[in-house]
Amino acid sequence: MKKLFLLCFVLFSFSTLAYEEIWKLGDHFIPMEKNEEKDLLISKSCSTRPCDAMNILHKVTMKNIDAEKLIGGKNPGAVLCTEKTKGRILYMKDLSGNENTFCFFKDKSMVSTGTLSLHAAKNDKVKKK
Amino acid sequence: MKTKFFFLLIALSAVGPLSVFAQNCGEIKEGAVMRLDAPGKSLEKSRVQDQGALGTCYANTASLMLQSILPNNPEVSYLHLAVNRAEALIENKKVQAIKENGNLLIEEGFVCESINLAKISGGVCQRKDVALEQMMFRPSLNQFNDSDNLQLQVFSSVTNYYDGILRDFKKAPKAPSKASLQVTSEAPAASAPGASESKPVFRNFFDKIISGVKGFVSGLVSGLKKREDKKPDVPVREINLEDHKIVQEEIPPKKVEEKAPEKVPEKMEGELQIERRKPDEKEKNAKILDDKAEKFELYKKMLNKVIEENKDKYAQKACEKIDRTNSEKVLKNMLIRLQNAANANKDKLFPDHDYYVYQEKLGHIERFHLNGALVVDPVINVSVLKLLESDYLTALTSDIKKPANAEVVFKEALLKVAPKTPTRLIEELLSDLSPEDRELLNQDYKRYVDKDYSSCAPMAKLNYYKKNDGLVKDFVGAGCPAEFLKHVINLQQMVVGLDKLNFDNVDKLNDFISNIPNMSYDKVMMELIAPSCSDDKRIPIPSNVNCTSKILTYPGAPEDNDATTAKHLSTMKTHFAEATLKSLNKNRSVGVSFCTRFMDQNMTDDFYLKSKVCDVKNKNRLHAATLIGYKCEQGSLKYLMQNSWGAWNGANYRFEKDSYGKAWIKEEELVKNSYLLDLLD
Repeated sequence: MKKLFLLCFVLFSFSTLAYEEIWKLGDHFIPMEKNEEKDLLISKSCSTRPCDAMNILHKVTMKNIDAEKLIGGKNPGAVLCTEKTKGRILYMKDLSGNENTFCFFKDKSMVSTGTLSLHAAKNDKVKKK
Repeated sequence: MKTKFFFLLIALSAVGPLSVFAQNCGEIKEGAVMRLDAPGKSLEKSRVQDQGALGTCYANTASLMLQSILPNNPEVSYLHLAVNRAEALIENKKVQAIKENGNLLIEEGFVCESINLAKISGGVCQRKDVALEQMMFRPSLNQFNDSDNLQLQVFSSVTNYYDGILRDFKKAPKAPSKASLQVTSEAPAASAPGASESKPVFRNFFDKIISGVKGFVSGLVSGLKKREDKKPDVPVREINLEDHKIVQEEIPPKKVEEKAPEKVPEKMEGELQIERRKPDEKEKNAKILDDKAEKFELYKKMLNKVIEENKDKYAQKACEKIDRTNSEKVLKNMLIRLQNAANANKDKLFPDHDYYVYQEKLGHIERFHLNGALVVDPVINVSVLKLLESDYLTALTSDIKKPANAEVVFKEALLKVAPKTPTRLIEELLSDLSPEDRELLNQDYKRYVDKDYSSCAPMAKLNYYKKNDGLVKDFVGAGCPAEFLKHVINLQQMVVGLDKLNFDNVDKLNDFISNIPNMSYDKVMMELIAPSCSDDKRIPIPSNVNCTSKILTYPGAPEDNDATTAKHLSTMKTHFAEATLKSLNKNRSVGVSFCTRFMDQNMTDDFYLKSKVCDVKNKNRLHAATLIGYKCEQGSLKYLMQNSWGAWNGANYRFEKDSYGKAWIKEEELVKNSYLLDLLD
C-alpha cells in the first residue's frame, strides 16, 4: 500500500512539474518541455541530454547590457538572446495564436525568451548575495 | 446576555473585514471580476503579442487599445502604427528614420500619439495584411537557417536606403514655426515608454516630462497642422508652445557607411559628373535645392538605364541555366510518399521489398530532433541528382527531340534510378503526384522547352538587384559616379532584406526606386512590407474616437513623511481608478506607461513617481502595456495587465499570474509607478 502511495505521489509530482506543450512554427508543430515549478519552457531534448539552451540558463546575466538596447520596452529576453547568447530569435505561436519568442541555438535547442530573462535575473540575484 | 454578546462579537468580526474590503475597492464589490478578454467582451478574440527585439511597446499597446474599440474588434498591426508615427516625425521634425544611436525611429514612442496619427492618416492595417508581421510565422522562411532578426533586418535595410536617398536628393528641411500650434491631446505624453534615460540616474522627472512634451508636441503639432486639411473635424485646442520654450532641433544626417568598390573607371566617371558652377552666396541655397532635384533625376536616369539594359538579359541568362530545383523538390516529395506507402498496411500493390529498394536508390530520409520535435528531411542521393541533370534536364533542353511533356522525361529518369524496379511502381508514383508537383514539372517544361520564362523571370530579375554580379557590377561597369554607388549598394542590401520577406514584385520595386524622394516613409514601408494593406483595406478610426494621455504625478515632495505620503497616495489612487475603471467598464482597454523597476522581485515597495528614479544601471526602462480588467480580492483592487513580452515568465515571481502573458497587479503598486495613462473616449 505504501509503495503504491509512493508511486502515485511520484507520478503526480512529475506530472505537475513538467509536461509537453506544443507550439506552432508555421505549419510545423514543435513540442516543448514546460515546467511551471522551475519556470522553464525549453526544448524537449534538453530533458534527456545536455543542450546549449540549458547551459545558457545557468550563466546568462543582464550585466553589461547597454541600456540603449532595451529602449522601446523590448522584450528583455529577446535582447539577451541576441546580445549575450549568440542565439537567434524565433517567433512561434501557441495553438490559440498567442505569440512567444524563443532563443534558438546552434545545437538546435531553444528556450523561451521569458525563461531566459527570468533566469538572468535569478543568476544576477545569486551573484549579488 | 453573555451568549448574545458573544454572538454579536462573532457577527462583527465576520462583517468587519468585509466592510474594510469594500472600502478599499471603492464601489467595486468584494469578489467582483471584470476582464475584457471574457466572452462577449471587446478583447475576447485578442491574443498576446511578443514584440521581441523591436522597441514598439507603445504600438503594441495602441494595437490592443484599438482592438477594444474598433467595430468587430480586429487585430490591429502594431508595425503599421509604429511606421505611421515615424513618418509623421520624419515629415514634420525632419528627422531621419534611423536615429543617431542606430535605433530605428519606429522604436520608442507614445501610445496616444500613434493612435491619433493613425486616425488622421486614413486608419490602421489589420495584422493579417502586414506581411512583415506575419512573415515570422511562415514555415517557408525556414527561420532555423536565418541568423538575423528578420523584422529588424528588413526595416533597417529599407530605412537605410530611404534615409540615404532623402539626405542626398530631397529638399533641405525647413525649421517649423514656433508660433502657437494645435494639438489633439488633452495632455501630451511624458517620456516615451521604453525610453532609457540619457543619464545613469533619472532624477529630474518633471524636467523630463517638459522635455518629452516639447518633443512630442512639436512633432505631433506640426504634423497635425499639416494634415488638418484632410480631416478638419478632428477636435483641436490651442497650446502656446512659447511657454515651454520649444527648441526645434534638427538632427544632423547620420553618416552612412560607404562600401564603394575599389575602382570606378575614371573616364566614365568624368563623363557623367554633374556639371557644376560656382554660384554666388545669394544663389547658393536655392541652388542646393535645384542641385538635389537635378541629382536625383540624374541618379534615377542612370539607374533605370542600367537596369533596363541589363535586367532582362540577366534574367534570361539565369533562366536558361540548368536548374534542378523544381525536379529535386518533386523527388523529395516522392521520397516521402514512398515512405508513407511502405509504412501503410493496406492497399499495397507491390511487395514491401520493392518500395524499400527503390526508396534506397532514390535517397534517404534524415530525422533529427529540433528541440525535441522530430523533423523529417528527405535527402536525394547525389547519383540521382546527377541523373536528373544528365537525363531529365538535358532531354528538356535538347534541340534535337522535343519531348511531349516533362512527366514523360521525368519518368524515364526515374526508371534509370533503379532499372529493375517494376515500371508499374514508377507509374503509380507518378500518378500520385500532387497538382503542385505537376506544376513544378510543367514550369520546367515551359522554361526549357517553350523558352517561356514567366515563372522563373520574376525571381531572376529580383536577383539582378541582389547579386554582386548584377546591378552593382553593371552600374560600376557603366561608369556611373561613385557618389551614386553607395545608394545602389544600399538598394542591393534592401533587396536582400526584402527577399527574406519572399518579396518578388519587381515592378513595385522599380516604381519605388523612381519615386522614393516624393514618397513618405509610411508609403515606402507599407508598399514594401505590407502590400496587402492598400488604402481601401485600412480600417478607419471613427471620428468620435479620441485618445487622450493623462500624466500621473506625485503631488507631494520626495521627503514627505509616511502620513503625508499615504494621504497623497490615496488621492492618486482615486484619480487613477476614476479614469481607468470608467474606461474598462465601457469595454475599452487602457494604456499604461511605467518604469519597469517595480517589476523586479526586490522592488515591491518601489515608488517611482515619488523617488523619480528609474535607473538604467539595473536595466530599468520605461515601458507601456495594456490594462484589460480589474478585480476586488480580499479588499484590495487589482488590475489585469496584458504585456507584449509573450509568455512573460517574470510575472510569475512578482505578481499574481493570470493566463498566458497576463498578470494581476495591485492597485497601489501600479499607481506608485505609472506616469501615464492613455485613454480612449
